Amino acid sequence: MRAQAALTLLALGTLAITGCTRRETAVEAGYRTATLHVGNSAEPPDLDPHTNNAANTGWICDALFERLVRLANDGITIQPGVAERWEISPDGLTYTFHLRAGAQWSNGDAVTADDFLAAFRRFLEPKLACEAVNIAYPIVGARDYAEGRSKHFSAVGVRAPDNRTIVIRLLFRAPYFLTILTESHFSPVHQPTLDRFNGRDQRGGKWTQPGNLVSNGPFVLQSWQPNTVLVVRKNPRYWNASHVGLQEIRFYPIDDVGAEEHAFRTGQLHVTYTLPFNKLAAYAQRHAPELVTAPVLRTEFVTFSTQRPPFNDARVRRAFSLAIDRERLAATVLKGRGDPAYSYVRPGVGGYTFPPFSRYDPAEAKNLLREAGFPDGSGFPSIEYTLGSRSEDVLILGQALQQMWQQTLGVKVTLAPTEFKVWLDLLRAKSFAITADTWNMGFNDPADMLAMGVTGDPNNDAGWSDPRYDVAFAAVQHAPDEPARRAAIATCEQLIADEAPYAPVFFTIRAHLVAPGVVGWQENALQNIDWTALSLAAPK
Amino acid sequence: MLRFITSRFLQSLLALFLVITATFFMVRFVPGGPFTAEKAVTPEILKNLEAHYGLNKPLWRQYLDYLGSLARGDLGPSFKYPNRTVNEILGDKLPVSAELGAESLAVALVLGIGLGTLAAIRRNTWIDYVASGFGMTGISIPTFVVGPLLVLALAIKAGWFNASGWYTPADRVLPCLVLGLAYAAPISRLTRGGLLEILHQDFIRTARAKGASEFRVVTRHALRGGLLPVVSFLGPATAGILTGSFVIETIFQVPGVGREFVNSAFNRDYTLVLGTVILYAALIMALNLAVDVAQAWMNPKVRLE
Repeated sequence: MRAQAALTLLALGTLAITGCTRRETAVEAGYRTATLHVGNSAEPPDLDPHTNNAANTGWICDALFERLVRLANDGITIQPGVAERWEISPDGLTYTFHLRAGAQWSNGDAVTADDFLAAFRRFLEPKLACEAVNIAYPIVGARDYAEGRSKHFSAVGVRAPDNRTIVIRLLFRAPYFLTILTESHFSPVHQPTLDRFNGRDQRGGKWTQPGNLVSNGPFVLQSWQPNTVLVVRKNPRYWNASHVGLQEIRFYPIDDVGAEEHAFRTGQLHVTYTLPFNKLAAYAQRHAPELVTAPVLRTEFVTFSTQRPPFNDARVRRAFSLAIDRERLAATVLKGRGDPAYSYVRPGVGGYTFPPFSRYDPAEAKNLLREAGFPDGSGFPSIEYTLGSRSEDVLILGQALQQMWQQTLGVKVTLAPTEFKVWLDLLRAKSFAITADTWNMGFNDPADMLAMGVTGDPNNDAGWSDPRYDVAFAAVQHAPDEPARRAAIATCEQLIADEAPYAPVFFTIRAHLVAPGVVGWQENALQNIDWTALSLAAPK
Repeated sequence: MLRFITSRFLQSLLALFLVITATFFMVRFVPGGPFTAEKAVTPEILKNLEAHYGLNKPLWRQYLDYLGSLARGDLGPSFKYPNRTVNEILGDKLPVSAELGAESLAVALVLGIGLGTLAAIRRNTWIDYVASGFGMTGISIPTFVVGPLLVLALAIKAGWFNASGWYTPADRVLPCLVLGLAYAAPISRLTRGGLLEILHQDFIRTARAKGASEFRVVTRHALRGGLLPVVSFLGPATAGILTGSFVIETIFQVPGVGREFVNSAFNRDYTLVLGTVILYAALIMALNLAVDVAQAWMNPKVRLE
């Protein structure tokens, strides 16, 4: 026992001494070998591009799979992918994609229109039950097939008239449809591999494991050590391989924000996924070149349970919304983490910008509460403000809102922090009074978020129902032209501001660290990364 | 002795069964499920998902199914990581946790017993005060303070080590040191106390009278009895090192079972929660059994009771 212990100590001592010489860090070695080290926040549940429901897994899928079209690093420009060109019919309902001749799978097989057809079918397959499937619902027949009401895939509006053409028909003109097609869910699949591992309509097949996975993107899966590192290597068979600047990308699933920042400082990472909120100020103050901040498509808001008193009265909800001093919140609490929100959807999303729909108006807030029968808050029941996290940033924000409501409206609000999944259950059961809520937009268009106001939508956590809104939202979806669509979006926003099922608080700003030697990095609202546009050069 | 071991073994098996049953029903009654996510899915999709994992069957049926596959050694598929089974996940992580645990325990034993012995034989000198001071400090400062401090000093400032990860042998140093230090402290206190008690006994005086060197007195005669409290502490300590390494595994991003244990509960990954609980319960029971046997061997009084 003693001998063994002594040996271990000796071994540890030797390691400590060998560690004492100044080593080349992973980041420095990366500049030599064109290897990018990326913090990826969490272990990817799977690499199945269709069942995937997590942004960090989407990043890896973006490196591995190429869709018909790709999104450039600005998060807006649509570029050719497997499709070298496409046409959109004048009514905006039919999309025709022409596949490039040289597109290959990583094993040398040709990428055909049939592979895309099989992928559409798989994504919509009811047995696979993809959580994100509703983004395909603009396609004719997609919803009925995915929800099991129709058994015939032939009724879905996706066809392959020949081996290099895909035709998609839409139910309504969705101007954002091309952006949707850049998502991992529309990745083609290598059918022989899927069949070998029984993965066509089953989750969890072994086809996504290293050695099995056949992909068509700029990179191929090299190795995957769970909770340690996932490595992808440049795919020499990729049609645009000569323009890919990186040889290798290593994704580290570092799930502790503090540990991730430490890893960046010791030269283990070129790019972090996030930055601890309490370190943001320090980086910003010294204008650190590695600090990168950008608005993202995420709104933080307060959701009111509109079916139960006291928040079944729109005047009460509106009073609570008008009592939030968003400018003060941004300056004193958020400090660079968010912009004040006066609309439900961040201005600029999908190219739509409107004047503010909401405002800070304490006098009007008091008036409304008096009209509702609670002058200066007297007689107002004591209510709980439910939070879905116990993390410091959420609690501080909660306390700030609590104080604003108590001071302006004279109501008594207590904070009720809960664990995340418990909170989700409360939310779905609508058993809360008011709660801090967020929405990460799935695609760059107001329709994504405005759907939450529609009667009976699974994400309508407010339990709100207003026929005027339902009509306005249908008009957003089915608008024949842009001006009509714009007007319908404005109507939806105005109704949310007036009826206040949701009170927008702030639009999130994402902050993270990018080493100055990463060339071509462009922060965008969709958090999209075009890995082919990146290269590495050791900073002088 | 054999009867003693057999009866303790059977008790452990019963306890394990009770733990499995209680955990199975407890995780099911916790609000939220494996598929409750930020974005709600339509009821049709949710129904298909639950059907895929057999969650649509009555709970008692699921319980029997689970026991059935457990009897075949199958812990089922993970809900969170669909392309891996719980067996595979635990098979990946257990060796890592075992390595972290063994190396930390080695650090803890060498430092703890060494310092404790020094303190006991040089009682009430500066050596004793330094060693005892180390013991008190180690017990009082939690690992989530020591860990980041060492990272700051040795990884970020000195640049000797990676701040986190489990890639090279050098990556083992910091986590094992931090976890080992936390357990070295109580071990040094226990060693000192145990030795002091023994060193005043008659048989030690006899050994000294017969001319045995001080080194021989301590190592051959005193330590065997003096380490008894350390041995009884080792059972829970080893279990604690293996199961309680969550903080260390998170700070240093070690891919061990500890993180899976906590994260699976947050993810409501029912099968993975059960898998880790079964693993830990079995480990703790085996360790306690081992400690009982070791104590019976070292102290005949325990055997007779």
